[in-house]
Amino acid sequence: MMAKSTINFIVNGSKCECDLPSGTPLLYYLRNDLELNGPKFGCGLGQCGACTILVNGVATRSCITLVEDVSDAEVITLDGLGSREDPHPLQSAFIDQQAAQCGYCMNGMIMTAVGFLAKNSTPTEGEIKEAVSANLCRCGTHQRIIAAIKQGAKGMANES
Amino acid sequence: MKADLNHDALRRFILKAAGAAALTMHFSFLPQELMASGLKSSRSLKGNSNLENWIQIDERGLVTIFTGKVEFGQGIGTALVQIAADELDVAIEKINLIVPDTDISPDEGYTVGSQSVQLSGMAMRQVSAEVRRILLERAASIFQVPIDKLSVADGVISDGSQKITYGQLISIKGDVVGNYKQVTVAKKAADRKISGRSMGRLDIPCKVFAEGAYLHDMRLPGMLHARVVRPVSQGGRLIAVDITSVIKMPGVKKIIQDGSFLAVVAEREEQAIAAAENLSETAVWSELQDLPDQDSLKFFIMSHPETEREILVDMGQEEISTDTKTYEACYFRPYQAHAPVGPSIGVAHWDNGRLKVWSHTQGPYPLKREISSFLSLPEEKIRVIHKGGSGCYGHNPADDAALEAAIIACNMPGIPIRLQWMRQEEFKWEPYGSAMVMDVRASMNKDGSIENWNYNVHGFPHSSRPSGKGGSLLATRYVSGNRKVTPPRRIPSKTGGLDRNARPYYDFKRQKITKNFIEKSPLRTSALRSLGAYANVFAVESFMDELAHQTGQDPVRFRLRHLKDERAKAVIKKVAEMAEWQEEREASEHMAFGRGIAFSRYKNIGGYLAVCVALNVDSRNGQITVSDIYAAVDCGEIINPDGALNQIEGGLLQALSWTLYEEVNFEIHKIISEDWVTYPILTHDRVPKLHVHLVDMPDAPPLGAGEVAQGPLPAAVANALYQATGKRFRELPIIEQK
Ligand code: FES
Ligand code: FES
Repeated sequence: MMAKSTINFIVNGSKCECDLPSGTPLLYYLRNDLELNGPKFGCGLGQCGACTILVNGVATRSCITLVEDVSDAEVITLDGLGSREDPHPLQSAFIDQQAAQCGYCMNGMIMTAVGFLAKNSTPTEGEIKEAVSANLCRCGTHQRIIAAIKQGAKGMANES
Repeated sequence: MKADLNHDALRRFILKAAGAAALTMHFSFLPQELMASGLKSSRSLKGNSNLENWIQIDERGLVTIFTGKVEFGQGIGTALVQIAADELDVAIEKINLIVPDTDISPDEGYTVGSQSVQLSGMAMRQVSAEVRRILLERAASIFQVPIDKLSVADGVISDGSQKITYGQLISIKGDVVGNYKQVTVAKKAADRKISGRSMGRLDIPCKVFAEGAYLHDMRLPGMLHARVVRPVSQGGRLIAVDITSVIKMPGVKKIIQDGSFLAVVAEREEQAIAAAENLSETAVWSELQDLPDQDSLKFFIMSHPETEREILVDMGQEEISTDTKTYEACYFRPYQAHAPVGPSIGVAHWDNGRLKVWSHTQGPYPLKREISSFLSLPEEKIRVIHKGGSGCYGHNPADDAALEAAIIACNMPGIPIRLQWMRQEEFKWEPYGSAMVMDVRASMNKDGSIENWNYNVHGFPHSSRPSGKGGSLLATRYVSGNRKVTPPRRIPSKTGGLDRNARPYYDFKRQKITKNFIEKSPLRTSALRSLGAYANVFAVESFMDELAHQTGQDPVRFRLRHLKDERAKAVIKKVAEMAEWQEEREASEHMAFGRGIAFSRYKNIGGYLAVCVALNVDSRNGQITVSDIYAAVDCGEIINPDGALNQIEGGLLQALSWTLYEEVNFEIHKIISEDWVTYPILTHDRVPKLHVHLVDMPDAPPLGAGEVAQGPLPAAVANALYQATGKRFRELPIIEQK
């Protein structure tokens, strides 16, 4: 048995006391205990990006991140990124560009883009593609996703 | 809510709930209370011919529409809302769509074949028109004016001086019910204001704001998590398993073993995963060496002793005169996977003598019948409710997961069970798209036209969807009792499975088309987006290109001269214009450029698509870079042009991924494609620019857009590569061969 001790961190602005055994992938805590819908299970292997969240602003794959890895950190998921009333510019952009078919990859695309745009606010199209190229989309929505991230980048620049 | 609730009260309840939800979200789910009770009375909603099966309007004028077609990101839900809004003259915001639910929705079978707009959409249009007319008649009799003096705007009927709303008419005169009588003509294309215009898909915001759009997001009170443990070989039998240590693992509630079906249920998801991994280590399975050698799969298919040969077309003997020259070629497509980003999932709950199953199936009713016969449970004891999953692309393991969840739920009455497949399971246990071999021979006249065309397609079944006999799904092969596996469905050659688009859409003097069907595939197969059309059009359109080049003809003109259908010619001409088609091969120092064209009419009765692929090949390392894809598409009337574009773009890119990278790999005893490393797909950095043109055909019947791109794309890639390299690529995937 793994050691059990409370791990504290912040998710979408709220304090969490997680007392799951260390070694538990963060994804299951977020989805099943906090009932968040943003991060998705896609592979559990760090290969697809569907489970991406932000940890202290850095895009991170929650399926291969353990609960103890985010001790004292600030986690943001798509659920906390924005709302219908106050959408994040990337959320508005994904709607404007209709950048989804099934949309299962969208969480990963948006969260990876948020992390990336924080480091590079005026990216070229090539840099955007590169940034999300390890996020898989099976529906072939790629062109719209890139267009949405471009639009989101402009939106974020205008906001700041 | 009590079980003896009458139909009318149930309906009001649906409307109240649905109406409230309509203000915020169009794709609502029935509230839990309704799911839990009042089900018996809903039987009267069965059958598709009653107006109220499709449309119900309440006293507030809120409209609820029902469909049996499922939304999987292709946008059918939005299209249906657009159609109803247009025909009823009601604002989009007042319409709420109820997702397919076998207790209340019309039975529309499967959502397949790019036919949802033709079927559900046109039904919705007709019924909407009829409901509108009935309401107008009521208003006319109240106002004492002829019906043609009335006009409607957003559910308000007016004769110029007096006004009455749909809602008021419903309160005064009751619901619009009864048989659809086919007496009303729907609006002319020119009078439609909402259909035919791009509209944001109604399901997207819910996904963007993480509001729980997916079945994966469903959480029921007291729900437990299950995982299935699988053998190494597809046909492996469970010989022994030691559960003593696993049952003691944290959170483990139950281990279910029924023959070779082995599953574990735990309180938490990660506990179920850990327990399944542990079980997998202790379980002993028989190993079968029953798969062919992958390297000689083509030969295996072509020389299979149990091939059923069926001649589909035979326009007489081939006369090889001295004036004709004969060419031949053989093409291959491997097994390919649906491979959605999110693995399949089923949720099931045995509750008070009734089994509820939530699934991202393409056919809620057929799944219900399959589960009923598998479990020997009367159909009325089962309710299947659709909830969206990850992309669908045909018959993926959604139904398998649903049945497995149902089996587990029956073992744990009262407890909702969530069974999600793991990534490796999704890859190794899905029903693949069939491997196929196409060989073709043609002789050319000296005037450069095709004289004889002799085509053979070889391959495995393209549908093992739930048949209702209880033996179609994966679990059949593992549970005890020697259950009979239902033979795969024979798809009639009108649309075809293996032979879909085996007949070229061209006019050749003589053609002979033969289907060589092998019922038993070494790897389980079923419908993958476009079925046999992907490989058949690859072969036909590659060979057309070969013949054009062999006889020194321009591939565009060569196609045009063999076509009669003007709509077919129009898309080819259009794409040639878009891509600034030219014959000459361009080259720079290290880069060879190529353009390839291909065309098909999906199923020969569906949408038309011509595509031109532009690519370059780096002679230093053989790397292929597809830079642009141009497509011209005629799919008849289009309800939501941007939605159709989205689907076509997606189809092109998915087909590009199949064509360049995808192949299910296996050894003699097991499948080895099991994740995104062993089964790579197209990534963002390799995505070309897409240029798609939709031909505007508002008055033509809708032909469907979802699968039009799959067939022509691979041939256009291979033809472009020929132009760039002078080499023919006849085996897929292409990237492997450079
Ligand atoms: S689910 Fe985490 S990377 Fe795929
Ligand atoms: S939209 Fe379906 S996986 Fe990207």
